[in-house]
Amino acid sequence: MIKIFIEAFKINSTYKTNSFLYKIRKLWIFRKLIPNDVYRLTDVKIILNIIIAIFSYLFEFVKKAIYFMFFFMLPISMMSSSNDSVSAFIWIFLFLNLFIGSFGKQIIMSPTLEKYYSVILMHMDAKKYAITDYIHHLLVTLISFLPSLFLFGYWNQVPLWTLTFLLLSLIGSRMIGDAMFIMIYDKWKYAIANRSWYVLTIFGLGLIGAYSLSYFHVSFPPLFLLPLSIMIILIAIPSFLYLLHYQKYSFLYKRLITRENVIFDTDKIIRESQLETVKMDEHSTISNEMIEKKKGFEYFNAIFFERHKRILTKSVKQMTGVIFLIIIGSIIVLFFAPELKDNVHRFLMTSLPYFVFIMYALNRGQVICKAMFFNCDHSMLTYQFYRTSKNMLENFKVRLKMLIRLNLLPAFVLAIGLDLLLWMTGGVGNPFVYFSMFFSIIFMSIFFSVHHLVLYYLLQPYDINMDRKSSIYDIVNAITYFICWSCIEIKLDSFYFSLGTIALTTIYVVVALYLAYLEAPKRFKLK
Amino acid sequence: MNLVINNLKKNFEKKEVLKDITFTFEKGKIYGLLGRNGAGKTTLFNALANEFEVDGGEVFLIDEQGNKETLSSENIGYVISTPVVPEFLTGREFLRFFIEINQHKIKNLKTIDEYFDFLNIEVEDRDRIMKDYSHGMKNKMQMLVNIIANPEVLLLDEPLTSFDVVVADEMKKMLRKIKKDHILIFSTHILELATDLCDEIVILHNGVLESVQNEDLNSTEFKEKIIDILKDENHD
Repeated sequence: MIKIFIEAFKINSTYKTNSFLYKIRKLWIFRKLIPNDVYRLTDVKIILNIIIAIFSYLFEFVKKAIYFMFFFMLPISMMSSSNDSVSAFIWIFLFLNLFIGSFGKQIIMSPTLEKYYSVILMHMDAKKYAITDYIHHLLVTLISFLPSLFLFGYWNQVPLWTLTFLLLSLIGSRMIGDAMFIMIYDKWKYAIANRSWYVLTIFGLGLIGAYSLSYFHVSFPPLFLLPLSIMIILIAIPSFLYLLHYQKYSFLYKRLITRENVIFDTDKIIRESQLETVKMDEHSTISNEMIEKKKGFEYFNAIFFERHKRILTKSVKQMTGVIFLIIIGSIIVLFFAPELKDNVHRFLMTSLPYFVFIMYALNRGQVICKAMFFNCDHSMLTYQFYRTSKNMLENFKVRLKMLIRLNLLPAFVLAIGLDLLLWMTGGVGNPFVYFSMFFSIIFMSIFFSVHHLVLYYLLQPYDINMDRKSSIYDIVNAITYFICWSCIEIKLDSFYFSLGTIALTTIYVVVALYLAYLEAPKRFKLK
Repeated sequence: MNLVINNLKKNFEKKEVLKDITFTFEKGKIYGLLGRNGAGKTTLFNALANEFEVDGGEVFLIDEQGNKETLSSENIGYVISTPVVPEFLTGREFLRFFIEINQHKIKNLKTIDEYFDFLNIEVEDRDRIMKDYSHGMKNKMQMLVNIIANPEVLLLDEPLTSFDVVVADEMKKMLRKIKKDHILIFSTHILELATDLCDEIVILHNGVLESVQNEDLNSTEFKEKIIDILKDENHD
């Protein structure tokens, strides 16, 4: 088992180091510094392997600390008094880590590059690999959770014995979850954890459970944890034995760890939806008269959106529906609990900075650009006529219009809803406040639509094999995320904030479109 | 109309893939571009099709009056070896879109069905989503849009390897039919295919392009001569 672990470790660290060198060489500042034959320098690579391995283990600790900060400390400080922070901590841990963490995602069956390289390409013994990798995963989980769980738990006055039981239950529940996934697959050949409906249900229930119980200050019965932990451990033992004695890992991996599943894992849901949509439309040609009347790129993109309804338009409509329900729900709550009006009014008057992040999260631009590449541009960019400046800009224009229109639907409902809530909670004397709030939401939506499309056209991040190759694209996305998140910290009256948003958005959109006009014909190509 | 290549160079980092390509291709002929795997055939095509910047040299078209014209997407068609089509469209939708975008440069515009007939694409396949097309069918569609655009130069990168014998024969006939109006350059590493279809064989070897003169392309001596050139020990 140790031998298998060392072999797998060698393969994985070599691929990580090579990918790291490959990516870093893509950045122009390093291209000149690092020679093309760097991959041959064994000594350098061994040192890099060790450094990357150490950092990736250290990063596990950092990740857990950040996780506890955002998912435990922040909500607990917002929701609970010091008296019930113990219960809130336990509820959140049980639902997020034991429930979602163990039953919302699989470990042994998850398609990873590591498994693909070791078992499929290098023909390592599937069973030995699966068990070794799984034990390694459990150990990393145990060790990386240990400091953060005890530190943040102690901070929230959770007794040490409770934290110990929580940690043991965490490992136990992981074993139960994985055994369950394999049993289901073994019996029905159904990888349930790959299904978005299942994952979304588990995540939804888990999040509701974790935060609603904490929000309503439901105290966790202290005596309940001991029997719960014992029960988990009692089920975990046979589960682990089942995983140890399971014989069909080789078959399992051949079915699940395919190149396609592994390489495009992050985009799997998109592709699955796309395939289903195409299948659905296979028997009929587009009979939509509106589309038939269109010409050129209008026609081309209209069919694209029509055949990808499920991932593009349908999800936007669902999102709009959810926003609509939240607003209606808020109106009903305000109707029955008018004493909340003051708080809501105060929140609305200062909440606009939060909406930068919310609008960023709601915007479908990135997903749509991804779908455009995988299902359209990947093939079309090989055609000369598609890449001429004139056609590229014409296509860009049509797409921009469609993207803005699509994203405006939820933005419009949200903007109207916010104004309505503002009016219902007492309103404001200055009618410009309503306008500015409405238009700042609309402008934010346009801003992100333009941002994602321009970024896609300027940095086209995928190569011909559909692998993500542009580090700059990732960096710009991370910066965008960070800036949107940081906006929450801005303490400014909504009215002034909205004026600033409208002005900045207008400038950004003009500059971005001008850049796209100048640079996209040169930059938007297959790499 | 001739396609003239003068001192074309392309390096990838330290590797010189195209060293000094100088050659003139004439209209009305099918040229077979032969070379071993990795010799740089696709690089040469990519350079001609402006897929990347070259490191030196020039490429242009020259007509009978001596007027020069640079190569652009308007006068070059490129059928790549792995056929890629927008899979979310039906064959008919793709052709309609292509024709609408390129209307200005298509001479003697025909109906979509006439184009399908030209490449013997079955009626029942025309309104199917291209995701379900076979490799060969996708290749036909790719070939079709390039033929419709009617460019002066048509580059075909290993185009016949994915066809079955019947379709390959159809395609050969079609290429012979259209050759009088085009400069056709056909890359392959299969010698028999080149000698069977082409009027002239050019060899890309060690980064240099050379013509192999022979009256009888199908003679055994000629084939042996080509293999001898390609076996040259300098090959990397």
